[in-house]
Amino acid sequence: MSRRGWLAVALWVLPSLVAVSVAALVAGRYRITPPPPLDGAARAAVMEVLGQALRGQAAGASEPRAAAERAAEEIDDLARPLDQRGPMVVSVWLGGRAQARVLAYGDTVGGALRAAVEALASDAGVAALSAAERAEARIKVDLVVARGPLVEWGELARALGFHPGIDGFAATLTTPSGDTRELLLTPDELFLHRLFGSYRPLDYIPEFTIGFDFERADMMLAKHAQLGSGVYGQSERHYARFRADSFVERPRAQRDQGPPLPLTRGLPPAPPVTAETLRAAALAGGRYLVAHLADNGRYVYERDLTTGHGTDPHQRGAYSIPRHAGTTYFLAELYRLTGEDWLREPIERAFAHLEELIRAGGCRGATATGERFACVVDQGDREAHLGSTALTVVALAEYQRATDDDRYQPLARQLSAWLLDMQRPDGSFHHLYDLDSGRKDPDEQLFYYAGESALALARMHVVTGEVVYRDAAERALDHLIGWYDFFAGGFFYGEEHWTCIAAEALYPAVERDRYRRFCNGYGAFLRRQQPAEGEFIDQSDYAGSYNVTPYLIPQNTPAGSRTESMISAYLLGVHQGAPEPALRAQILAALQYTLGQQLRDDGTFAVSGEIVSVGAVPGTPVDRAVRIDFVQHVCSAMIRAAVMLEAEDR
Amino acid sequence: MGTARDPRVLIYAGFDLAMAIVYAVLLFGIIPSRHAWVQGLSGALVAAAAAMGVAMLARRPWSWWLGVGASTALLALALVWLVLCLLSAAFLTGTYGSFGQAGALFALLGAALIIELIALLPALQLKYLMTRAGRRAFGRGEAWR
Repeated sequence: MSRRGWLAVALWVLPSLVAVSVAALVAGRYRITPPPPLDGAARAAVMEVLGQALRGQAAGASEPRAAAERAAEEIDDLARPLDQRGPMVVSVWLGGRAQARVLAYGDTVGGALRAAVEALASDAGVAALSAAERAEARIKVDLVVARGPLVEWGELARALGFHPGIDGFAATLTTPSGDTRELLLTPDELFLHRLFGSYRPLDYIPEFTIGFDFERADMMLAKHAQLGSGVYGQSERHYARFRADSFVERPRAQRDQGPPLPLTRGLPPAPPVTAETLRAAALAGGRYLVAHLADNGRYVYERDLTTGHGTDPHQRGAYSIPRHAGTTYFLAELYRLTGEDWLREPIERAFAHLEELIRAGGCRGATATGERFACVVDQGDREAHLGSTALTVVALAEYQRATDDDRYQPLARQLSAWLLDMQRPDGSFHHLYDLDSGRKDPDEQLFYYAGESALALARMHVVTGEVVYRDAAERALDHLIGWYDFFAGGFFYGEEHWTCIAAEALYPAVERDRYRRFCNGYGAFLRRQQPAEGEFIDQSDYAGSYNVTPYLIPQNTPAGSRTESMISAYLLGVHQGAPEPALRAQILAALQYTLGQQLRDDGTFAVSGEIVSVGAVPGTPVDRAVRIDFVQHVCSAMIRAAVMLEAEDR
Repeated sequence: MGTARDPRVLIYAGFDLAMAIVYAVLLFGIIPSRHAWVQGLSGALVAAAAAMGVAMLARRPWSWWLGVGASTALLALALVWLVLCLLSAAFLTGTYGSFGQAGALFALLGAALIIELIALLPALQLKYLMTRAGRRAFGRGEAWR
C-alpha cells in the first residue's frame, strides 16, 4: 500500500483505536471485578458461628472458636482466599443502629471468621447488650472481596468514580508514630450517611450537587479512627474503593426460614412478582401511609428512615395538597380493590382534612354562566394550579367509587365546574388562575396538569354519569394526543402517564383505537429506557427501572407512576381485544424492580427503631428518605397489577 | 486524477451505503417516528442514500444518471427535513411553555445537524459526478460541448 493509503487507513482507524485503548486502560486500572458471592450454605455457616459468638453457645453446640474451625474445614467457600486479607466487617444491628462493629482479617474467609469471633468476644459494644437485645439484634456481614484504586483525576472525577451503594470506601492510615490501620465505610454506610449526590463541584452554585462527597467521607473516617486531635490529619493516608459480599441475618422470627439474606445496596432480594406478593406489598404500603397519617388527617409528608426524622403533621409548613389528594386517592383505590376495613376511617380522616384545606384556601366564585365553582389552592397562595384541583377531584371521585358514599360529590362538582371553566374549546386547558383578578394565564403550560384534568373529568363521568364530563374528558384527550401531530412530535413523548390512565378510565364511554395506539407507542418509548436483566454490569438490581444510563440512579416514583400508566395502556388493549404482550412484560419487569425497593420486615435492620417503615418506598435505591407520593404511585401500580393478574387467572 | 480507477467512486459508495445503514438503524430502530408520513420520508432517505451507493458501485453510464438523481433527491429531502425541523421548533416554542422551549432547542439542534448528516454527502457527491473526472469514471463524455 502506498504512503497515502497507509495515511488514509491511519486517519480512519487511529481515533477509534485511541478511544478503545483509553477505555481499556481505564477499565483495566479502575474496574473492580468481584468474585461470585458466597453461596447460601457458606452464608449460613458464617452466620451460625457469629450468632454463637454474639449470643453464646447454644445447648449442645460447639464453642464458637471450635465451630469456626470446623465450618472452615467443612464448607469449601470458607477456604476461599481473601484479596488483601479482607477484612470481614461484622456489625450488630438493633433499633436501626449498629451497636457493635468489628473488622476481622484473615487469609481466607474462614480465617477472617475466626478473627471475627475473637473480635466480637472482646468488643465493648457487644458487651453492653443484654441477652434479650443480643437475641433480637441482627448480624450483618460485609466481606471485602475485591479492591480498586480511587479515581484521582481531580475532584469531579473522584466524585463520579464511585458506584453508589456498590463501592465501599477504605483508607489505610499510618500515624506519625508509625501505627498502621485500616478504616472502612461499607457501601450502604456511604449512602445511609447521605454521602452521594452531595459533592458541590462549583462553590458559586451551592444547589448543584453531584457524586460522592469525598471530604465528608474522609471526615467520617477520621471520626471512626478516634485518634487524638490532629493525628488523623497528620497521618499518611492511602484511599481505595472496594466491593463487599454483604449479607444479613434474617429477623428473629424468620431465622429458621433459610440462610442469611444477601444484600444489594442494603436491601434483600425481592419476592417474585405474583398477584399475592403484589397485593401484600400494596397493603403494606397502605399500612405505612395510615401509620403516617396524624389524628388531624394530615400525613407525615416526608420521613428519613435512617434518622427517623419526619415532617410534623401538626405544624403548618411545606405541605402539598395535590400530594395529600393523590395519596388519599391511592388509599381509597386500595380500599375499593381490597375491601380492607382498616382503611375506611383513615381515608375519611384524610378526606375531612382535604376538605378543610380546600375551604381554607378560599378559592371560590362563579363562572360566566353563573355556576358556582371552587378550586384548590394552598392557604395564603393567590394562584391556583390546575393539577391540584384535578387530583383532588380524582380523589373525591375515588372515595365515592370505593364507598358508594356521595357526601363529597357537591364539592367535586364545584371543583369540576372550575376545571370545565379552565378548558378551552379545543380541549386544552389554562393551567394557572389568579384568585385576585380571576385571570386565567393564557401561556404557561405545566407538566401533568392536562392529563390529570382529563382523568378527573373521566372519573366524574363515572360517578355521575353526566355526559358533560365525558365530552370534556374526550376533548382533553383528543387534544393531548393530537398535540403530537407535527413532524418532531412523532419522535418523542412527554410525561403522558396521566393521559393513558385517563384514556382507560373513560372506557367504555369513549372507545378510540387511536388512544390505544398512542399508549402502546408511549409504552414502547418508555421500554427503551428500561434496562433488562444483565444489561447494566454490576447493577442487576436496576433491571426493570426506568433509567436511560447506568451512570444515573433510577428514581422509584416514575417506576410506579409509569407502571400505573402502562397497566392502563395494557387494559386498553384488553378492552379492545388486542392486548400488547410487550406492555405486560414491561409492567412485570417494573414491578419486580419496585418490589425490590420496598422495605419489608427483612430489610429494616438499618431503620430507626421508633418508626413504622415496612411498606415504605424510598426515592431511589441509595436513599432512605420516603415521601408519601413515592409510596402512593408504586403501591397503586402494585394493587392494580395484582387485580390484573388475578383477572387473568380467572 | 479522473481515470476509470478513480478511488473516489468506491469511497463515495462506501459512505453512501454506510449512511443508508445508519439512517435505517437510527430512523427505524432507535428513534422511529409514529407518524406514517414521517416514516415514509425516512424510507425515502434510506432509499436515496442506498441508490447513490448502488449507482457508484455499478459505475455505468446509466448509473451516473441514477447517482445524480439520487443525490439531488437526497439534497431535496435534506431541505424538507430542515424545514420540518424549523416548523417543529416554532410550534414547540409557541405551545408548551418551558418544556416547549427545551423541545424547540432540540429541534433546532436537529436542524443544524441535518446539513452535516444528510446534505453534505450528496452535495459533495453531486459535485464530483458533475466534474469531468466524475463523468469519465462512469464512461461518460463531457457534460457540455
